Amino acid sequence: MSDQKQFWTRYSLLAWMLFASLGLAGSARAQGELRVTAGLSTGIAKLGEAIQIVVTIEGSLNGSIGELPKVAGLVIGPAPNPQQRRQTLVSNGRIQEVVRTTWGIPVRPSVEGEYEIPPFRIEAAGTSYETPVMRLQVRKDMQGAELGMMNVEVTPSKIVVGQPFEVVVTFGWDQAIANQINYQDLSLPWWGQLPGAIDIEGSSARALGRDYAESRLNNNMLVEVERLAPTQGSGRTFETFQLRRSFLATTPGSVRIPTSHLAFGQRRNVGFFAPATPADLYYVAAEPLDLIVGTVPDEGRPAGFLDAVGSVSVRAEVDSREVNAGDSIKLRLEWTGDGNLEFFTLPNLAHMEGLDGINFYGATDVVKERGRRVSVFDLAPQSELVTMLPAIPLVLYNPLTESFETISSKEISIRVHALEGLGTLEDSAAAALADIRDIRTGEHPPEESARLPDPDFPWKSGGATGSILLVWLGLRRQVRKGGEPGAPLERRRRAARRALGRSLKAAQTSQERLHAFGAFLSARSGESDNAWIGRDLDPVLGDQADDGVMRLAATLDALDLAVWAPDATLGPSDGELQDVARMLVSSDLVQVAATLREAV
Amino acid sequence: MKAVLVCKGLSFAVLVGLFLVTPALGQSAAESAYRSGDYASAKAHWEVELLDLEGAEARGAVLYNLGNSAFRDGLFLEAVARYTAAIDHSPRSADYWANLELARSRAGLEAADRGDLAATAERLYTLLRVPELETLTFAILALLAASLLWEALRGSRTSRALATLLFLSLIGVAGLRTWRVETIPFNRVMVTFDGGASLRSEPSLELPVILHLDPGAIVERTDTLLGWMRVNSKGTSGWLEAPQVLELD
Repeated sequence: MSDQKQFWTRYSLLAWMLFASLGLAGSARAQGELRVTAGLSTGIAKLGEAIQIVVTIEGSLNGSIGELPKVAGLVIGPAPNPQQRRQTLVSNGRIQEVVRTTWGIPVRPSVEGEYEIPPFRIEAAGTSYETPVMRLQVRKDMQGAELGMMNVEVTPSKIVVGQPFEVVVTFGWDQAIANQINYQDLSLPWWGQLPGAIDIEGSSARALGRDYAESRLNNNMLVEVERLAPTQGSGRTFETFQLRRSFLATTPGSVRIPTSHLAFGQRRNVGFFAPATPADLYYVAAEPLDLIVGTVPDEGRPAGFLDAVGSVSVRAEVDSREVNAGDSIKLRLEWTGDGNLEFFTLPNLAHMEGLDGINFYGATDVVKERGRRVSVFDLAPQSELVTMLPAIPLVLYNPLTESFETISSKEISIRVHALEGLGTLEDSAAAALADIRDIRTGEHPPEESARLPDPDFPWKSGGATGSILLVWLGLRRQVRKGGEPGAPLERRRRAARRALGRSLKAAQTSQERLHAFGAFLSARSGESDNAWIGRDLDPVLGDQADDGVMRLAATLDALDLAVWAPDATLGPSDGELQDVARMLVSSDLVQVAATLREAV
Repeated sequence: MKAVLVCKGLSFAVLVGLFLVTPALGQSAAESAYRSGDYASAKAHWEVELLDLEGAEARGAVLYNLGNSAFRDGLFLEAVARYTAAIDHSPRSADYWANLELARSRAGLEAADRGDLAATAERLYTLLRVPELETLTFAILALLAASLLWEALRGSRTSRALATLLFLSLIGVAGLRTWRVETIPFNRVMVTFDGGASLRSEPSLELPVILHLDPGAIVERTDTLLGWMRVNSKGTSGWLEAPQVLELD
């Protein structure tokens, strides 16, 4: 089933093709509703069979086909006149016009072989697009249908615009020849090129944890296919595989799924570098399918319809059935079925009746995938009188019954405990919750604050901040010219003056004032407390004496006089002493004291 | 003579009484109408009173009373709009918040304060009104000036730490004020029509609806026309029928 080696050389080409396809789709999406697709009506054909390249432009009636490519062995064209379709829809009260232009360009194979039809240009609404590379196998005969089986189904069978659907390809071969099969290729010309629908992401067999195998697809890629249990048919037992592809219907009308083929058999490898050559290949085909895409009717559409479409069932559960009033309960709703589960809008419980006494704090999607959606609704019952979480309805349109239906989750009984100290609803505190608080009466406050923002605020605040910073910088610079005020020496000087101030305030007599001042001087000169009491300053006095020392001598004389001749003088005031101290904190009293000690 | 004096005294007392009573007459009329269940009259009185009020607290109180009138009339969406406007003026009033939550509950709207982290953060940063943030900014500026003066004169580590802290606070408060002014539009309206409001590209009922606004949705008003209001909802501009919305003052 592998045969991958020859693919390595083609992977780069495949990557470019995928990018080109994505680019084509991307550029088409960029045009809004405009979308261009191109594909063969079949990927494998018998010699002489009528084949078509089907080119579709959705969203414009204005388009043309560029020069068609020339491929040896194939006669391509000429392009016929296009089929144009215009349809007017009324959806959600809005008129929508759907237009589509389609060409069926004939392709006539004249020689058996494998062909690659190179890209050609398509003009649509003034924009140029390029088709992807298309591959075609032409065989003289296609025998072996009885040895294989292939079936293509669409589920669900009836859909509307906006609803996802799945194309399910089931295929296999006779179990009796299974050990001879080393090659198989699915030819699905509609893969990624389905007009009227866009591909949506689905889960692979491996992602779903199923038994899987790899299969060639369209002779240029590998895909994972699910391995099913063997099936019976036509008296044979078939080795069976399945491949699923999800689409979203975008426009109403018919979606044609062209003929699909399975080629299987044995290939011989001639050499390591030589490509494998086919031999004994068998072919089985699945007939084309037409899927009718309808629209959700406006008539009878309920107000609560939130674009949910399909056949869906719901299951509800809660994380806790017993909570305190005001506590959160997580209601988990799981929708499953054939619907557009990924796309519908969640019901807004804030507008739902029957939620009295329950606060709704929002909903979050936990799982959102094909066929399954799980959403968690955050609810908080407010009182112990709430005993039930109500059923949550979802209005949906079922295309199978062509009617609007409402599915509801089951009601869930809960038990809510009243908060301690709050009592029951009959209590006044709880009763206050159930009624509004009274109106404001009386005079308005005499001073009313402003109601509107100040338009000049940025200028005022910015200007004030700038001014403060400028003043600070200037002041700081000025102050620091005399030294750093935060330095330890400066801090000690300030502390000494503060201590002198406190001592002078506490002093009751001239003697105590003299001792307080003496203590200040001793602290500054690093001597004992009484060192400056009665000290003779003559050795440091003279013509060259410092002003501070001169004033110190005068102050000490005055203090002495006040102590010993109290009737003659009151002595210097506290302010005068502080002035002298302020002058002295900058003087070098240590040096003065040393000189005095040497003189003694 | 005595009689003349008594008469003069009585006249003076009556005049003083009238002077004192007159300012409260408007309120009394509204209040008495409200108490007697005539909510339409109460609403009319308060709406007239609202025209002359400039102060935030006074407007908040009158808007709150208007909310109570609407609530008693069963107009829960209008009550929600009034309470929301009142809270804009007095964000720290427990009464306003209590009535808003009750009105939102009755109107089928989600709680204004959901109690989660985002709602708590929103309550915190709207705790002060923009003018209050401006006042706080200048108060911090004054403290910053004092701390910088201290730093310049004394240069201690404490003064520098305090100045840094105040400067960061200044940036935070001024930044919050600017952010609120820039992000919360002043001219807001709330959809108070039970069925929501339909946004159209032009002021004409003939034109298709480009956006449906749910009841309770708050959008920015950008223009008005007779019977119509141009609004901006998360980048989508269009026209609403004016009766479907109520201005949040």
